[in-house]
Amino acid sequence: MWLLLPALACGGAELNQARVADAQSSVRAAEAVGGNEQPKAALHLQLARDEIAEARRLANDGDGAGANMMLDRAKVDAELALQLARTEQEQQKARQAWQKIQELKQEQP
Amino acid sequence: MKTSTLYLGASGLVLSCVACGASAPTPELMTARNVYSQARSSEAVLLNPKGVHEAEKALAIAEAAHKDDAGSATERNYAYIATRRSELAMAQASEALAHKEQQRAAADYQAGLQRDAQQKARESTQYAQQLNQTQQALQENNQELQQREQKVAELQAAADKAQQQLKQLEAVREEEGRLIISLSGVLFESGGDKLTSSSESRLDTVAQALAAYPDRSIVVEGHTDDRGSDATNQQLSQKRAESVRSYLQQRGVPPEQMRAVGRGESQPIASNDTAEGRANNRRVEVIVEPAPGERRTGAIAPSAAPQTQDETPGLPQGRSAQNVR
Repeated sequence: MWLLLPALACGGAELNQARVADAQSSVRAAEAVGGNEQPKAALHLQLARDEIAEARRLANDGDGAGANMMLDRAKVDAELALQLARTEQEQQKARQAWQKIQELKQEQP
Repeated sequence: MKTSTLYLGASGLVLSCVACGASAPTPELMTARNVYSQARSSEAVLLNPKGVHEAEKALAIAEAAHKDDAGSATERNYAYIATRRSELAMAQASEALAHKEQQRAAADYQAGLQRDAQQKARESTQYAQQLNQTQQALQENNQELQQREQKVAELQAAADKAQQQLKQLEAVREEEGRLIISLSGVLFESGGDKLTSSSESRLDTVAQALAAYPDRSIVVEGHTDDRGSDATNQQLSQKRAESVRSYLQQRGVPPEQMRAVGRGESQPIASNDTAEGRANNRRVEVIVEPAPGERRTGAIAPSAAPQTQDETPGLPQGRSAQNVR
């Protein structure tokens, strides 16, 4: 009991490392599919990174609940960044496919 | 059905909270309501109902937090998450749409390629058929040409041979571009115009030789000695010339190429005082006229215009002032 006191006294709170890792994993997944190159995805990626950092800061300040909420936000921002990047890729493929059809129609008499 | 019920439930929740008006929602909650509403009216409802439901759950928690403790961190946090979940649901639906578009485009492209390939195959078949027909026509033309060349060569050889024979059998001479084949001796039965069997054989050789001159005019001239009246001789020579012409026609010489002329006794080539001379004067001459380009001036005098078979019979043929030598 006495051993816990110094920790509480300095205001620190334990951060759920599994949730941090989960959020970071989502950030890396979004980066891997080109999230940094797509403006809207890049915005949410940056938000996710900032939110992870904010979660750490809040945990350090002893606000465990706030830190967990930040991790929730980081997780959903990273997921959104990943999805936006994938959507953009798929739309790009669709545009290319229609472009090929146009080219084929031009080639045909 | 279950999802629709949930949507309706969420809408009711939103309306009831607005109605209570206890305190103004946070900007995060207002944004969450707005974005969720967009998601509800987007294709995400059909394409990604699960994603919309996730947003709805987050919004419901935010609304509940707002009701319990307006402006709380929980309200703000779940409103934020609800906003993101709504955006996520729409982005997932957009990806699904894009994927469908891509598949449709790929199918269209394949169909286009197939049409293209079929069109090219049809064209290729047509070209091949045309080529085949052209080659066949060319081959037939070549065969026909070879046959014609062979036929020409055969005709030429036969004509050459016939000419050689003719030169051996008959008197052949050239005068001013005209080839004159003179057939004398016993050609006709006495006093008439019927050919003897031996003369037919001689005329066969003449007909073969004439095949070498398909583009020349041919004049068959009949001549007599001076025995008998002029009129009788004129008539006899005409008949005999026509008899020879008719026989040559039977042996393949085109009728339009020939004309028959009776000269009577007007053009003797020997004295009529001796039997031998008279025999020589009784003759038929087959004359091959020069080709138009080869005709020399005066080769055939206009005054010597012969009586043809088309001329009116009964006139004093061969006895006009022009025809008397």
